[in-house]
Order: sequence, then C-alpha cells, then structure tokens
Amino acid sequence: MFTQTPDTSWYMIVGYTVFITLPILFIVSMIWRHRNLKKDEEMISNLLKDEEK
Amino acid sequence: MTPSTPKALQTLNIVSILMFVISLGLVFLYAPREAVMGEAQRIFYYHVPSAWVSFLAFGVTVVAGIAFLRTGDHKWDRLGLSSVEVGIVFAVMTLLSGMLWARPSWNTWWTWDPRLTTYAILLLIYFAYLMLRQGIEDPDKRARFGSVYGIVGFISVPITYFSIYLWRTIHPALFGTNDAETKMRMETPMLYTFIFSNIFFAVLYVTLLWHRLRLENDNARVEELRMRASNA
Repeated sequence: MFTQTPDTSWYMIVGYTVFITLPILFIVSMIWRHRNLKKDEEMISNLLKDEEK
Repeated sequence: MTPSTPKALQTLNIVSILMFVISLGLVFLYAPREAVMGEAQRIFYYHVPSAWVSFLAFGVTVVAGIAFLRTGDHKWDRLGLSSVEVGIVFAVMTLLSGMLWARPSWNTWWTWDPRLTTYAILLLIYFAYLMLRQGIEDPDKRARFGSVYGIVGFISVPITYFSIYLWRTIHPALFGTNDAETKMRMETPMLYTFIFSNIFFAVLYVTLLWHRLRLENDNARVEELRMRASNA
C-alpha cells in the first residue's frame, strides 16, 4: 500500500541550525577567551615592568 | 601571545569552509529524499559523523593522557583538555540532532534506550572532566588528574558504541546487524554524501582542535606570567 512521505522539514531545519550554530558559538567563545587572555597578558606585563622599576 | 596563524592552519580553515559548503550541497541537492522519514532523514548525514568524531576526540585525550603520565610534559595535558572541549561540542551536536531525528521517527524526543542513555552518561562524564579540573589549583596535580580521568572516562566510549549490540534497542545500526528493523540501507548518492560528511567532520575536528590548542598554549603562558607576578 502506498503511504505519503510525511513533511518533516521542520526537524531538518532545526537539526542543521544546531549543526551550524554550535561550532560557531564555540569559535566565538575561543575568540572571546583569546581577547581576554590578551588583555590579561598586557596588564600583567605592565605590572611586572612597574615592579622592575 | 601565539605568533600569527601558521600556513597549514590557514589552509585547514579554508579547506574546512570549502568542505562545509560542498557537504551542504551534497546533503540538500545530491542526496535524494528518503521515502519513509522525509526531509528529517538528512539529519543523519551530520549526526553520525559528529558522533564518531566525538569518540575520536575522547580517544585523542586518552593518547594525550598516557603521553603526559609517561613524560610529564604539560603540552600533552593541554592537548587532552583541548580535545575534550572540542569533543563535547560534537557530542552535544549528536545528542540534540538525535532528539530531532527521534521525534518524527519514534514519536518521542527522548527515550531511555541503551544507546541514548549511555551517550548521555558519556557527555556528563566529560562535562564533569571540565568542571573537576577547574577545582584543582596546582597545575601538576590538575594535569595528572586530567590524564587519569581522560583514560578512565574513555571506558564510556566502547560501552556507548557497543550498547546497540549488547542490549535490545530501537536505535538504528550501520554495521554488524542482520536485523531488518534496525539495519540501515543507503542508495549510492546517500552513501557518497555520508562518506564525504564523515571526512568533512574529521577535518573540522582537526581544525577546531588546532585552534583550541593554540588558545590553551596562550592560557598556559598567561598563567606562568601570573605566577611570576604573584611571586614578584
């Protein structure tokens, strides 16, 4: 007996949104952490320079 | 901070983006629509690769853990930690996409099936790895703990993988079953799409791992500076 293929497009769209969004969020979090580290490094380096003076 | 991005990593970035575009083309334009499940079946092309890449990532943590315990070199600990973090990204992807696949095919978002349950436990084990590490101040202790935990925690990977062969399950199997209900069959375009997606995910893993490792190296350098500043 022939049965019609169900419309499950919504699940596919949400699925691929998950696949695309998660790595992007991870990359953004790495960029954010990198920026924070850069700021910390600058601040600590300045502190050390002041100590040496 | 780490010097400018190496040429090989820049190439990997471009290859990853190109492979991503090609894989999307294959998934949506080349692979046919599956007759029983409809469009939701296309989740499968990224769901399975993200699952095995998460296993690979946790496997790399085991190798890094053994290398750290043998050599005491912290670069291995940094690799192990980076790989766990990338592995978690892929594992969360697997779990969420699995739920989106389950709803139209099993009529439920979640069921305590052996594969789903063991995979959820696996994910919690690696979340705990990150949280417990953060509670340890001493870098040597932290690295030793991370290495041992990474090795012991990996036991959850074969348990998850073989769960569908060990217990009764409704989760489909790609290999090693003759059960007509759970065995998956693919047409040639579907198979090519699936193979390409697997290669793409492996490349994506290496790219993300490399970036994460560079970040961890920066982190270690800043940590060292902090120690110097606090001792000064």
